[in-house]
Amino acid sequence: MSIAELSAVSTAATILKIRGLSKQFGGMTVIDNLALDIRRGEIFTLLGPSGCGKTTTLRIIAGLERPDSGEVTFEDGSWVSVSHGIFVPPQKRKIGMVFQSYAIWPHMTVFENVAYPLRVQGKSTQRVGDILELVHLTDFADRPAPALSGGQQQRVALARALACDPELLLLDEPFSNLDVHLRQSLRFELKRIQRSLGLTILLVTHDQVDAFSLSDRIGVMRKGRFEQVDDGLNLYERPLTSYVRDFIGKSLTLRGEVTGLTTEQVRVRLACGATLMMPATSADPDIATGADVVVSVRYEDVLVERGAAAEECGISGIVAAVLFLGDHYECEITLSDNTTITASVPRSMKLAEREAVSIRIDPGHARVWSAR
Amino acid sequence: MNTTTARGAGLLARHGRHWPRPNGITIIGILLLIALGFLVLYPLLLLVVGSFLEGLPSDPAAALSLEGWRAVFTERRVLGSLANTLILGFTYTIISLPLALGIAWLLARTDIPGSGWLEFGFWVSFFLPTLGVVQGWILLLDPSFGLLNTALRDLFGLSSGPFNIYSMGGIVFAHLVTNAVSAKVMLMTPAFRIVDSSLEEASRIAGDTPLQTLRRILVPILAPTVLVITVLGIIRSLESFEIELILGTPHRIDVYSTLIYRLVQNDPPDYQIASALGVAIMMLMAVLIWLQFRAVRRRSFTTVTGKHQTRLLHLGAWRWPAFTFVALILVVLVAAPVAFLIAGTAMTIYGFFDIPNAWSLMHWREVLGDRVFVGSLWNTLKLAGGAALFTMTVCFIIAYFVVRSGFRGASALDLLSWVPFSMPGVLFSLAFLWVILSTPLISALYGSTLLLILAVSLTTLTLGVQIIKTALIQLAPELEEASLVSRATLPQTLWRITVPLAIQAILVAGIMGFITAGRNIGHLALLVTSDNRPLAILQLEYMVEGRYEAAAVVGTVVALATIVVALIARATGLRMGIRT
Repeated sequence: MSIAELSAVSTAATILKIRGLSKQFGGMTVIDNLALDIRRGEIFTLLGPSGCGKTTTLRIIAGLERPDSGEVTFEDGSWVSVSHGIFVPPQKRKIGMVFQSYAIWPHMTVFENVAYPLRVQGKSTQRVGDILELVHLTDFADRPAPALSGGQQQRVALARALACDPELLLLDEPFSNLDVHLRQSLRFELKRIQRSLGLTILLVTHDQVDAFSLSDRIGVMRKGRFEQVDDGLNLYERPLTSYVRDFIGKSLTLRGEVTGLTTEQVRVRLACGATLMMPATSADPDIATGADVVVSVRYEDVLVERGAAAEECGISGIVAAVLFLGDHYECEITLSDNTTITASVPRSMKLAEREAVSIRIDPGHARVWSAR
Repeated sequence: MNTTTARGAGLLARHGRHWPRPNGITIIGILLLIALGFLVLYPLLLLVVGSFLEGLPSDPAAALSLEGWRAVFTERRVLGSLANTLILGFTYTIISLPLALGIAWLLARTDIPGSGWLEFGFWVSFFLPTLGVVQGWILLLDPSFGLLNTALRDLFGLSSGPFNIYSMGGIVFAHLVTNAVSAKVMLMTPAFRIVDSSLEEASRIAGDTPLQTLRRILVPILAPTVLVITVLGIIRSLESFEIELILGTPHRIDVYSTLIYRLVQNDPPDYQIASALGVAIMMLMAVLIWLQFRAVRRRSFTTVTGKHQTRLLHLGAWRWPAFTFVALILVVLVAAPVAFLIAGTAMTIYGFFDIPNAWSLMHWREVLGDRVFVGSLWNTLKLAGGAALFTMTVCFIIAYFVVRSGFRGASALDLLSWVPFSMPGVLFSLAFLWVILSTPLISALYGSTLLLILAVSLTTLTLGVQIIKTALIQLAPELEEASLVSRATLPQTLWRITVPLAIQAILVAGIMGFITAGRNIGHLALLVTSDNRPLAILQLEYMVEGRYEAAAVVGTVVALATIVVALIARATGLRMGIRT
């Protein structure tokens, strides 16, 4: 997506607005005073571990669940307002939804499944052919739904959700039951369809690859609240909380103490003995000299080299274990303070156990967090 | 998983606190509760009130009186009937329970040949009309003309006997060959099948014989299920009063149900003693059910785990002897009575083989040509068809409410649906009679088929609701939610998604309603008039009049129709079992 397009989306009108949303199940708070704006034409993803409230949020938007408090407004109309006693039932919300289990009706054919939303409204089913073509299922129209593979069922579910020209498409873990290759091709397909129809999509997933590859914006959820709402690149490079940092991507973390702080640089002496110099912009604003901190750096910004470190900024360690993961190795390395870190090593560099190594960190990509 | 149930219940749920306006679901739910409560509890309430009144509850002059209760506790014939009820029930339970346990174990846990068809045989036995089976056995065991008796007399030169079916022993036998064994086998076999066989194997490895394993492992594990089935068995056998009416009358052996029948048929009818006796039985039932609930609650076994494997025990050389044993029991339960019932229809005089022209089809011609028979056939079809429709609709609605609505009264609805199952048929018949006699608006229904449909459908209500509930629980809520999101209304969703996906269970409920209505006597005995008399009651009347040949013809028609429906049920993959 070009920068021009991105900014077009970011300035687009808000289509769905959520304010003050809360929901409890049996005394457990699942959604906690949530606010959210979704813009027309974007793919917005709710990302988080299971139990963080993302699916419940989606189901409230779909009208399948009622919140305990809060408002959901779509365009100019209210879908839910607990204080005004408004609740628009799901069938009047102009949405399409793909369920995690797909919820394909087993007593119908592919065509009947996709035609269902049109038939119950007494509309012509002429569109069905076009939609089946869009998801490459034309040849399967007369198949009974249970005789389909997982990927095909997923496409039937998508086609059914698209049958009524939804203003908002809700996807609940749409790829979670598919194998890796199928996921990838369906991601491309979904993005193609979304762009060609100009759909607004709200996606729920716990899979970071789904989230990063599809989304214009991502909201990372935890315990019914947003930790951070941002585009993928910002989430990855500039996580606002340690939760987001640890949840997204793979990071290596090292404990240390701030030994010097200027407007340009921050100096941290690590527990393992090495001293790192990093740009001051990489540090939390509330950090002062003498503070206990955690230095985090993404796996790909770490370089492992043979032999003990020579300079002061180098970290020395001993290889404890090596795992071969196909395209690279993952090593467990014991540092001089007896802590262990995990780092990735390219396939070309075969390390032996008990071999001495040095670890080099790119100071431009490291971040300094208050240890708390 | 907690969230799953919460989500499932959330589909239609509205939370009273935040959604103060009553909505459609709550209104329908409350109406359902009122309707079912009226149908189930109001008659029983009237029965209780009636037991304290000298006269009808609708009669303002009716005086309070304890005369009915005095009779229950002091009159010899009342006490005698209660004693007979208990002695009979105890005797055939003691005999049928171990027999049924053994058969269910053979069918479910061993490699006995043809276990599927043998199990189906017990199904047929369960659904066969009681009266037809009893009549078949009368032909064999009647003290004067019974074939078995005459044959044994010829063989051993006896002057009388040796068997007399018109006795306490005969009544016990009749219960054993009708429902006492077959119902237990039918309900226990599926329960036995789902027990993890690794438990059994552990016992075998520890050195137990198969019989010890059955006694030490299987029976204790299944104790709650067995207990529930035993109590259901007692309730079911208390329901059948036609056995006692036919076999007890010659020697004035009365049980509570036949006594109630006689008291109401008296001129003038003695409603008060009948009601008091009915309430006494109701209390006995309540105690039984309470004991059963307590026993089941205290001992919660995990009989049914998600993963289970059933490995069949190899009987080896005992395979065919075991098969012969079970097959012989089926001969006694099904083949012999049906064969002799059919033979009886073709005899000039029932049981007399030596007279000239012993065989003829005159009774068939006579009965089939009779307007009374045709009318009764038509009544039966209306009754059974109506009951099937009523059962399917009402059970589906109740089950759906219980499983999906999140309506707060749903569990009360579930509980109410159990009441008819725990009350013997004659009691409901009496209670319904009370409603008719004391409620002017409803008394107009007297003599109509609709009234009989209502009364008889209650018998199947409980099982129907349970079967459909099981099917709905297995149906992922997402299938319905996907329909709602696809812009279908709730009625559209129910009709196009839920009903088609649960259709098998709904049909099973309907078939059960059809069969039960077709052969039911107990629920109808006191409500039938000559206008709405079904075949089963016609057969009973013929028998009471001593027209055995005509009764056999009617019985054959009902029995054959029942077997056909049972075969249809089998073809649709009907399965049933009790889950505790």
